[in-house]
This record gives sequence, structure tokens and C-alpha cells, in this order.
Amino acid sequence: MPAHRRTPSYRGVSRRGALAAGAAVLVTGCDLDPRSSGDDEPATDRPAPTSGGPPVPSQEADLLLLDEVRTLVDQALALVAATRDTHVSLRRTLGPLATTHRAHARRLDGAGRVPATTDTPVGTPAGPPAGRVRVDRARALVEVRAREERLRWILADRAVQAGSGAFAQLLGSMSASLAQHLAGLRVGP
Amino acid sequence: MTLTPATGTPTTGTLDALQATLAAEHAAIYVYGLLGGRTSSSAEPALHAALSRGYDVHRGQRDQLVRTVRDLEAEPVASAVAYDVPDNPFSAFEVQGAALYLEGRCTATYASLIASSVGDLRRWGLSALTGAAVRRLAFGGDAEAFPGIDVSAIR
Repeated sequence: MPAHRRTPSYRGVSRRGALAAGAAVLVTGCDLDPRSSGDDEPATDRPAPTSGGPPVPSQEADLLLLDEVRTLVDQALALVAATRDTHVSLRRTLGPLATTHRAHARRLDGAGRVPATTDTPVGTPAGPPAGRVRVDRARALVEVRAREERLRWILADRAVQAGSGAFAQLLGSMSASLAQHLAGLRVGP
Repeated sequence: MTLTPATGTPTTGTLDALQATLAAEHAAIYVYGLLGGRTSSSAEPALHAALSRGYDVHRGQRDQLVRTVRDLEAEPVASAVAYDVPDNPFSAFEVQGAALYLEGRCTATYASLIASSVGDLRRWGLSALTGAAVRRLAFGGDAEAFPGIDVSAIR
């Protein structure tokens, strides 16, 4: 696997820039088109992901959800990667989780049709993880579990919020995937 | 968990997805019953226990879905008299494989329900999807990146 160069600006500029520009092309990827799957609730009745201000149209709300989730996946991946680097004995244990996060990141990029820069492999951890890796192996694993559990919960919650049925399905599946990983991730020696 | 529709009158698509999910629960109950009957609780206690748990979960979910469909003033789909079970499993290994396959089919059904619903019904689908995905591990399945969906078909 090639060494991944970290380019913090990728997350901060490219995606948010696309969002700010309206990014009309974004709606067709993983079908973020609202009401794509047949329910009839008006799109603007969806709970907006942010509080305050005028109601956010469903399509834009989904893009905001996408951006939020993509960032959280990056952060989770960064913690897993750092933990694997710090604790060699956890490399194998956490390998499948890292692979899954990369797959999720790739799919989310496909959903949003945000082009990856040529020098930034998709799923590359962007910036430092939110929190340091514990020196104690067991504690480090507890930290990873806690982060993954939180991400799992957020994915499920955002799946309910999503305006697009296909996007909800994707987020729900990602959440279920993390539940599988967590079930197999034992804390102990 | 309540299963009331979020708001308004559900579309035909939502009701169809509900009925498809109910049909899947009927099938799951049948298959779990068959698999449980072919598994010795003394010789294969872990497998037998996993099958029993799966059976109970799907029975509970079936009952919830029947009530929900009736709340929508529709007639719940009935169970078939019998279901085809691939490869007619008898050994513990085959039984495990059949349960794994069954839960895989269920995850796809729940994922479809998620896409076709909103609110509490979607939340129910999420819970069912997660439960089925985790149950697959007890039958020898591995963690997947996208349980229940074929990501190549999303586009």
C-alpha cells in the first residue's frame, strides 16, 4: 500500500467548497434526490440537521449530513490508524475496521460526487484524530470502541433524518456494519 | 418500539415494503423453525441457542409488522404453507449456512424498508437491519462494509 500523504485542506476546502457552490451535480450520485424511494412526506418537513435559521431544503440538508458523516468517518479512521500504529498487537484486530472505514469513505465520496484530488487517496485520514492514542493497550481499545459506538449511533440517527431513501439506506447499512465490528471487537488482553 | 407511521398516509411504496418485510418475517420464522428442529440442543448448544434467539426475534418482529399493517387499514400478507429451503440442510454446518443466508436475505429486506419509509418505521428498519447483521456473526458470517445493500447497484 502506498504511503498516504495527509492533506488537511482536502476536507476543509474541497467538500465545503462544493457544498457552498450548491453543487448541482451532487444529487444524482447515490441518489441523494429527495423522496427517491416512494414516500410522500414533503421534503421540507424533514428535521433539519442544524438548529435555527430558515428551514433547509431536504437536498441541501442531505448534503450537510453527507459532509458531517464523511468528516466523522475520517476521524474514526484516523483514530483506528493511529491506534494500530501505536499498538502493534492491535494491528490485526483493527485491520478490518480500517478497511471498512475506507470503504465507507469511498462510498460517501461517490454519493456526493466530490472528486478526490489526485494526490489524496480516498479514505486517507485527514488531520489528527480527535484525541490521542492511549499508551495502555486496553484503554486504547476502549477509546476506539467508544468512538465507533458514537459513530454508529450518529449514522443511525442521520439515516432517520435523511431526505433521500437511498442515502438513508446507505447510512443505515454503515451503522449496521459498525455494529458488526463492535460485536467482534473484544476489550481485553 | 412503536411502529406508527411518521406522518400522513403512507404511499403504496411504503406499504409494499412493509408487506415485503412481513413476508420475509414469515419465511424467517418458518426456516428458523425447520433449522431448530434439525439441531440438537445438547450436541450443538451454541447453534441451537442462536437459532432460538433468531426465531424469537423474528416472531416478535412479525407481530409488530402485522399490527402496523392493520393500523394502516390494510390486510397483512399471510404466511405461505411452506417455503423452499436451499440445499435442505441437515448437518450443523449446513444449518449454520442456511441461517447465515436467511439473515442475509433479511438484511436486504430491511434495507429496502429503510429506503421506502420515514420516521419510526425507518427507525424500526434500522434496528431490524442491525439485529440481522449482528446475528449473521453467530452463524459464521464476517463483518461486512455494507450489510443489506449492494453498493454497486446504488448508482
